[in-house]
Amino acid sequence: MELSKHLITWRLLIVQGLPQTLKLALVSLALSFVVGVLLGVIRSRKWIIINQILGVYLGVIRGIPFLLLLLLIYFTTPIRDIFIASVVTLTVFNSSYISEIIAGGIDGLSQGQFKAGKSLGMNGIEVMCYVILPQVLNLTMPALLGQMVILIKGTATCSAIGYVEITRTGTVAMEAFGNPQIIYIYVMILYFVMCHALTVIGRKLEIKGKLKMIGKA
Amino acid sequence: MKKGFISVMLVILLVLSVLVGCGQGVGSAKEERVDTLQRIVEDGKMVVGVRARFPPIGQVNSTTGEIEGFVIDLIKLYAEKLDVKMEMKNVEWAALIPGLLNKDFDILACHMTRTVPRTASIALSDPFILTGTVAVLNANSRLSKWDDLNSSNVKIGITEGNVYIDIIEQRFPKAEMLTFAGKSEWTEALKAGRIDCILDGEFAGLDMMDIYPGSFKILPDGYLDIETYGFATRYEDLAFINSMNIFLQEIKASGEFGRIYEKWIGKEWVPTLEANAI
Amino acid sequence: MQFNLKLFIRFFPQLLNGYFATLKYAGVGILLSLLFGLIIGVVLCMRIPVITFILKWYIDIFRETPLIVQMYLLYYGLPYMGILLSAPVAGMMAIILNESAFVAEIVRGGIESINPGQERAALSLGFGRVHLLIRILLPQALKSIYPSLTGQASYVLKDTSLLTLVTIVELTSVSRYLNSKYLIPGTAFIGSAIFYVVTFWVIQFVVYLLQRRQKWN
Repeated sequence: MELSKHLITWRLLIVQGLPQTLKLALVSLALSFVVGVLLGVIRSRKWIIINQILGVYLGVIRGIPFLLLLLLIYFTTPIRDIFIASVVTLTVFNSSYISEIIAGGIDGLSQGQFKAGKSLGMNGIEVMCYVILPQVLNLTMPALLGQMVILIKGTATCSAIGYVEITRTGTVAMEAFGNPQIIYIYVMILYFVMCHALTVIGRKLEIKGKLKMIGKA
Repeated sequence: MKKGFISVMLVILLVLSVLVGCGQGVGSAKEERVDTLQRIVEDGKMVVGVRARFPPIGQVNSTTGEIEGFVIDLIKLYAEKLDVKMEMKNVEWAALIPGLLNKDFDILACHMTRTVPRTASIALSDPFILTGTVAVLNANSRLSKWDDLNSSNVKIGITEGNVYIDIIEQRFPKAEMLTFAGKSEWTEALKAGRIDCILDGEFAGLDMMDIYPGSFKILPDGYLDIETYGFATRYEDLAFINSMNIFLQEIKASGEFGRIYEKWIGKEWVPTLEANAI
Repeated sequence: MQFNLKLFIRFFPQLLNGYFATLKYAGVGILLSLLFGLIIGVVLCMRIPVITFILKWYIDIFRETPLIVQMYLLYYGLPYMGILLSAPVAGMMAIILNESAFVAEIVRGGIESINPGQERAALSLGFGRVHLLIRILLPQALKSIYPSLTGQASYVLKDTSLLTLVTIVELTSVSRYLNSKYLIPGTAFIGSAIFYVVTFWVIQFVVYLLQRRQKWN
């Protein structure tokens, strides 16, 4: 494959594919966070009936493969736009894992925090927002970053229903230039750069967190 | 554990009954029925679902980026005659029929093959073009007749929602069908020899040979079946379909159809006796 | 377009066939990824210079790029390098390479989290390094990572649904076929989701039992 085709492929991947992947990832990330934190907070309150229902809902979402969830949402709901269907699927899927991370984080913090906040005159919601959640987010950041990696990888699967992002751009390039062995490696490099950055940050935070716990940072 | 178990079972029962209940109730919508054609004329606007990836029926002009093609010209002419504005929505194949049924579009103007099973869910107009099913082969393939395809060594590639699934199952039951996500995928697979052939409309086959000169060839055994393409509307829009049929008759008689045909297909239009005398 | 019980019963045999194919691929995937992951994880802990470097890169690359791209690379790309693998082999290779990386990371984490005191004690008693790893550290590590490893089973199960994108017939591809042919997305996709979710719950229950047994021991 001549140099010009390599360059055109990279240009396509970065100019056409990457913005679409980022758009999908960032929008879904924001929504997943909002929904995930909300669900996590609800789960941590341990209201029996709601917890049971949530438990079943989460058990179902985690049991369905992402591709199947995507097909389900695209074909059985009135959603016709591929981008919106992808966002909804990514949000539903990732928010369920995020809610678990957040709930676990909240449970990990001592009850004392809650009481201390209340004694300072804040009501339940204020304690949650200003005292507990910031700590939980800090504590669980490595796990959340890991979930972000999963989300970015998930955007690639959205190419299966026709969303044009990095992977689909690569497939189209393969149709035009052949040489899928080179093109898909380029695709992998792009994803790797994005996800590895997040993973490295996560590892650094994990080390910092451990140092904090033993009082060295 | 017991209390949790019971409530889980209750929730499951609830969910199942809702799902089954929904299945029964789909037809009993409470909306009032407004005739689509009348609504189009009143509003002065028609929304058309197209698929501009099938030259020369529908395509995207690579220089101007506009949607153009044989059926595009036809539907534009129809909108002119009806004196309404037209909005086109270019979507993927899988979104065409669901979009029509979901009222995202009023009508589909694309390479919609008229088949009997389809008439159970949508209404199809008289044909606007006659073409046929061909098999696109790798240029080195030894397959030469349609009968050659009915063998367990033959792998045929298809995509989802493909109208040829039934035909392949009936005519070539011994062949193996492999499903691909899209055209790029099976094009590559055909080049690599992972599949032996694909079935498609003649225009798609010619287009593939055009884009990849030397890689592919068409099975030299004529059409497997005659295919006709037509406009599609929702099942209950019989007035609309009737209107399309009258439109087609009118422009065939006046010569407008012949001009558009020659412009896009490249040959003179000669009416035939096959498939409803088009 | 919702779930129709009559149609589900009518197409149950086909879905069941797809389900058996899925189980077959999942079984092979789980076994081989656990096996390779274990070996790679242990080798990683041996800290042999060049090999550790290569393995770390392998793990990072396969954990931080999407499985779908890895599958496409093997399915479409290998033939251009002279290796034409059948679809099932290519697809399963992608899944196994992918999940082995995750298992290797789990194994490595388990071994390295064991009190280094043990290591020093054993080495001072004259145990060879490899012997130390395999006979002493690994069994202990396995006890703690047992639940994570069995959790991998459900990940592999969900990965198999991507096989449909490389023309392999399994549960998700059967549901796509039914949707294509009969236009019944609700029945087809919710129907196959039922199979996946029930299997997932069975796996979760097994994990729960194993964790309980672990606590008793």
